[in-house]
Amino acid sequence: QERTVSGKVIDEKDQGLPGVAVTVKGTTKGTNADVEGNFSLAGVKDTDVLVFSSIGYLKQELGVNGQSTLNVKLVPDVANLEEVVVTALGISKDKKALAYAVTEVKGSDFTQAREVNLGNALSGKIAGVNATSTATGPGGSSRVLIRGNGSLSGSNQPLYVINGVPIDNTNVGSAGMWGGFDTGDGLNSINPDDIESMTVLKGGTAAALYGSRAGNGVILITTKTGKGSKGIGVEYNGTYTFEKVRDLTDWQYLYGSGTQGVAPTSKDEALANGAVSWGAKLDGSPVVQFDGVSRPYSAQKNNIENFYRTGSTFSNTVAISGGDEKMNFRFSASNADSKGVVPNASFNRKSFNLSVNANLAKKLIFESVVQYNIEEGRNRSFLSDTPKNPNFAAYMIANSVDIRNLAPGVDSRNYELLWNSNVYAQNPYFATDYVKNSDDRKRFLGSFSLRYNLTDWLYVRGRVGTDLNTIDFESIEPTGIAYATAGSMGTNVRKINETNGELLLGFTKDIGDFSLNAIVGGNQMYRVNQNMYIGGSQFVIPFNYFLGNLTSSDRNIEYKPFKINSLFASADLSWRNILFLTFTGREDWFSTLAPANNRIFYPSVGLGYILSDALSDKPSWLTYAKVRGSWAQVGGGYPDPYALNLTYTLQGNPYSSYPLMNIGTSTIPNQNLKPNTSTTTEFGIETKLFQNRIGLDLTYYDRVTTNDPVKASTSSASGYNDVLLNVGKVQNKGIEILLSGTPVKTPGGFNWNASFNMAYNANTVVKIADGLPTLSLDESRTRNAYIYHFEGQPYGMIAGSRMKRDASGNVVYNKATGLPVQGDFEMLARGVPPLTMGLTNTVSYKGVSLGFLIDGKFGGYIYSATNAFAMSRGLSQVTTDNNVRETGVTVTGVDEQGESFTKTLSAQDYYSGIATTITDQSVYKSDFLKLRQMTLGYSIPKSVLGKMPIQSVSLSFVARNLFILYKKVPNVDPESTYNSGNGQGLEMFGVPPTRSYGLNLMVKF
Amino acid sequence: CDKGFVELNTNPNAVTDPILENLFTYNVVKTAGTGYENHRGNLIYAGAMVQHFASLTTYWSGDKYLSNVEYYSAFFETAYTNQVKEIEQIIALTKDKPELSNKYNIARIWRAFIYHRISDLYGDIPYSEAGQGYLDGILSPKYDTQETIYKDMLKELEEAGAGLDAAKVSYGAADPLYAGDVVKWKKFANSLMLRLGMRMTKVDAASAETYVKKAIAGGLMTSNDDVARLLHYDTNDNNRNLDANTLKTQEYDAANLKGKANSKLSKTLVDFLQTNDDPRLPYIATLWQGNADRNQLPTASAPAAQKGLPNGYDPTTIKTLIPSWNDNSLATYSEANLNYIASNAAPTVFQSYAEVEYLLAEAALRGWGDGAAATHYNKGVTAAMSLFSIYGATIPAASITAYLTVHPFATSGMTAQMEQIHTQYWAATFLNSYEAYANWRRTGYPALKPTNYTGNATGGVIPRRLRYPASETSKNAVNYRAAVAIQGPDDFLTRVWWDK
Repeated sequence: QERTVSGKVIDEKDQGLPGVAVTVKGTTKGTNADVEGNFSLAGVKDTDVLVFSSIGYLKQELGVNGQSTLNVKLVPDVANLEEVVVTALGISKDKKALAYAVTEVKGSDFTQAREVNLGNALSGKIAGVNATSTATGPGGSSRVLIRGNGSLSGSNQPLYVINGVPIDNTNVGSAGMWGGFDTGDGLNSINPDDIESMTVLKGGTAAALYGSRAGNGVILITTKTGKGSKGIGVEYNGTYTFEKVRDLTDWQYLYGSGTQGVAPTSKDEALANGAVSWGAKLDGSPVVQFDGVSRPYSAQKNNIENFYRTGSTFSNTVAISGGDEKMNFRFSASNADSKGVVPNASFNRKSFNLSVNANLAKKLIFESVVQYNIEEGRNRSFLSDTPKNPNFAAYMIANSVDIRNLAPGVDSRNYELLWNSNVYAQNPYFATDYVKNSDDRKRFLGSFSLRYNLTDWLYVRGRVGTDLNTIDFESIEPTGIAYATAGSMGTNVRKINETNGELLLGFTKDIGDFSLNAIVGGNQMYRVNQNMYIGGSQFVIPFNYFLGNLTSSDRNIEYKPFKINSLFASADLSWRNILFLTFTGREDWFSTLAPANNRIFYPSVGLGYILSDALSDKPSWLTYAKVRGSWAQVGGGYPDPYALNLTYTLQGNPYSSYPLMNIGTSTIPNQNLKPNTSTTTEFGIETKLFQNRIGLDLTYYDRVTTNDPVKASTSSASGYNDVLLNVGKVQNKGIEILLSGTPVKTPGGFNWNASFNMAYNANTVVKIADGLPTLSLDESRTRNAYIYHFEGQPYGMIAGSRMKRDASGNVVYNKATGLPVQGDFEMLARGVPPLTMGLTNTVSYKGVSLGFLIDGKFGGYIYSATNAFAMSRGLSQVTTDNNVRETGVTVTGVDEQGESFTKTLSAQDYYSGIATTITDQSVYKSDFLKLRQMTLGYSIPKSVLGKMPIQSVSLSFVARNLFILYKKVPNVDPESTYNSGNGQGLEMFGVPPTRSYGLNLMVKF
Repeated sequence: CDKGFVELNTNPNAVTDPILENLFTYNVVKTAGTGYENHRGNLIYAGAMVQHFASLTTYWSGDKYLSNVEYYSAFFETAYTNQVKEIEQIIALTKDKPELSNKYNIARIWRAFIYHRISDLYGDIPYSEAGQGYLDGILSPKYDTQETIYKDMLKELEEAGAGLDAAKVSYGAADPLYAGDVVKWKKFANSLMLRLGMRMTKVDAASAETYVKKAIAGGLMTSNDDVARLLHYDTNDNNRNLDANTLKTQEYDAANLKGKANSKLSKTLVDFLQTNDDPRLPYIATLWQGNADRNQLPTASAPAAQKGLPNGYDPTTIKTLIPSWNDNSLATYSEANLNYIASNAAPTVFQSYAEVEYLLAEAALRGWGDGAAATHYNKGVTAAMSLFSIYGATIPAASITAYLTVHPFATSGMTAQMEQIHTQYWAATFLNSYEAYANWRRTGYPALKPTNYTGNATGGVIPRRLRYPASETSKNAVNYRAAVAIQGPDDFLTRVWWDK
């Protein structure tokens, strides 16, 4: 007999549960519950079984057994409850429904053992995400890569989207071969305490809807709101950590300052050898030093610890939230104050975040988040090249000189106190106490969205997001700096503003067993990058640092606007919540390309299938299983503004009264540039076994980028430094594994959760361009090591010279010098590690929890200029091994004419000779394994808090970067590259690595 | 969907239509140097190798024949991107436009000047395909042999000089060398032809003779009014003499270092001026006190007080030569005089009339020129000394006459005469070390005593060229290797074509 069955579905709080799918088991017949949870299904047989399913709840089956009314209470599916993820355009989806890999990280993962830069905090947490920090001190930038490098020379970092609105992540200042300092990136503005969750969209499909800038993946940040508040709640989160440098150097301490085995005998000689340790055997006898004072000639092993100070970070956030069904809000204010280990270096961030959501009318929903930041960087450490870089002295000071004797860095006139004969190698105390730089960023981030539900299946949504950055830079080379005692200064005002406007029409409807989610929309992105510079040299009145006091000055103005207009559409079709099909398509128009080539269309398609739900006889150990596959294209890689035409500029200062005009670019322009295409194919399986005790998420992907607009470096004899070309094919293939489990779980409340992630990215630069087999990316200040692309090789190879060898493998020596002849320029080793991994463990018992994270990277190499310098300055162990200081180095091989050759050179002549010419002497594996993070927390139980108006309190001991468990490169940290650009694998005089410890207190009222 | 994009992508702070006059002024100003390559190429390498300068430091690579990749790369890399780039553009913009023929021909003369300095320092270099990154899309230019380059430059000078027409428009006042005077440009073209022609005496005497004669016939500089020089003003880096400013700010910083500077004048130079009672000495040299305070000049620049530093030592090894050396010794050695020849407002001399007369003296000795060698020699010395007026110094005619009386031109002996001419040439090209170094390599005068500092790159021989920049070995690898295969190993001892 058939009947109509009706009833109500309620949730665990006895509230009506809307939209629950009600189907007759084994058929396609079914309906959905209404917004109140009521349903009615006709034509049901008495013997039928009804299946009730809803996202986030355990599926429930009930026999009809002749009843006409069935009331059902669904139980939350703890395993899947958190699996609703925010995807492209801010649309929440059941993770199950996705045809691609996404990873979500909860905000709480960042708030305990915190990093000032969020990017650094990602290290080791997500399979396929390679986060690299720079050796800069607080507030520096980080390089985050998702599934490897796709673009040969363009940005390879993901797009960051906060609450649906892209934000700027420009690294506004960085160190290169000529030095400089890192003024951080846009991610520095994000206060971890405001983060609800962070979703990493790795593949092309995931990112297709964000358009061209999403080709490298997207990191979506959702900030906390007042949703679900009942009354007013207050939260406090405070962390205090202190930070100490780790001295990784292991120099020789047998021979001291001096040259050719002789200790200095006069002040001038001591100055000439202030950073040279080729002297006599250390014997404690009095020897004159750079300041003319004689001190014992003995090893100074603690110069690094003695120079750097204890740094600290104190961060405090207070948040208030509240609301009711109609409206809610959350406001937070935070202050994070970091003092770096480099004296006088600091970073302060104040941020204010307000989220307001309201149901303005029955069908009208308003959401907004605004954030205002005030960020101050002070005296960020110079890196790489020696001018103004305090780290050079800390590493390279002769090993018999105590660095503290260089203090206070100035002489009686307040001029720099020289400690070595190279005026460009600053006294470190002068560099930290007298050289000044500052950056002050004011940033406003706003996102406003209004949604109107036209019907219950059709809505229209408009959204405007804006990111306004103004950064004031000032840098001063003070009076008395050794290389230009008249001093100089410069100021910049940099404005980076981006606004996105988006309008979309959304359609959501269930038709029988099918449900369709579709959107069509458009977006306009408008970005302006402005820079105004005024600076000059030679202060008229010494020690007075303002622009009007300069003898000569210079100015420069840059104004670079940029627009992308887009139209897009997507459709998600699902069948019985088992089979999911997704299509997207988008067309972008770029203002920086010529009209003939300025548009690109790119589609994507994806399929997901829930095996476990499809099985009629699911084994009990199989909790969940899904297979997925997708194919997607993303177009992008547009040039900066004004790259199409040759233009001429006028110099700020004329010659006499005659204007000076020159070609305004060092890059050869190109009218014919096109956007690139990145095509990703991926497959994956996700399973959960034994009631979620074990989970495995496995992804294989193949990403190919073609037609990349590349800035290729040219021979300087072409007149230009580089050229823009559409070239290349880069392939990234890889696997990502996420294995999670709960090895121990006792009824008494003891839990051990572990999660291991690993990713291997096989990268190949398949093709650069016809007639262009190599492409230059970066160069070390030593000018004998480079980062290059070579056709057929992995991305970004370290390149340079080995010793030249003849056909029989003999080293070829220069007869005049006895030194090995520098071989031809060639590739040496890969700069980007292909294998990344992380292991997280959390053990908890009642209120106590202990967590730690170990992460590592393998398979990459680093050219260490610090080690090259140490070899040439006589600090390396190799310069004393085998008693070479006494016996000299005997070389045997052939000369350039092929005659056999042998000669004995002093260790100094040999090692200082090869250190700067033979690159591979200073190339090391950059493999490492680090104990990255450790937390030990205690939550005070509610029973103890009793009637206090406190909901919860937890206190944690936190630590970051505790130990390096494994590394190969001597004397420096394997993670000490000095910038976050594409040319990874170069190291030189960065801030030494640090270890930090502290306490974190979280209180909720 | 792309409305307004073209306007949006047009730079409001730049122009697409060049102004030739302004491009040309820029080109001449930058050929005088940006400071960077002046310091490394002109002073530290060439200036110390010809023993105008000396230093106790190891970064003065030319003092000790050390290999410093950055310093030997500096001139090459800067010359192409700051000099060649714009001159090739000017030539492309003026070529085949009859009404702009003077601008075109002046640019060709200037282009020959730019390239001959690069080639003299490095040998075979990119020439026919150089500077064409935008114009012809050549990203990796091939190297041409120095022989080809020289022959082409001489042809260019001949054609361009002949093509100048006083009736047509020129660069006018924006021409910082001759204010648009095409007659003077023609003299300069021929004077440069004389320089280049004479450069070939060792390798191709017949061609040398041909071009020297052509140059003479075409008309050379005839007085110090014809000198190819760029005036400077001590206001900012687009106006200063950047060789001088480099010495002032990066080397001497006299008020601060009080004589303990990293570089000094070479003993070879100071001894030559001092032993011959050269009236130029006080305007070339001074002790640091004169550089720190102009009022100290009368005592600080007194000829007897001047002392040159021996080349090739460091603070330790100098004691083997001068046992009494101590920390106060360095301050007693002479520096270039920042108030006169090395003033920030001193003109940069690209080619002087004195150099022309010295080359004419040599031509006379070889029987290629008119007049007597002695006459040209005397005119050369007179011109070289009286040119000091452009540095604000007046050397009385009587002093010059007295000098010539005491040091008359040798009456016989080609060797002695050549030595006399070219030692004067060497003294007259102080601060134009590119030229001093090239002429020394060709003639061997003055006879410089090499040094043999430990770890030097040549085994104690004065280098014969600079190595190519490291960037060429990688960014232009194919052409670089081809060039090395033809010219010889890329080291400091391989001789350039005209030096064979």
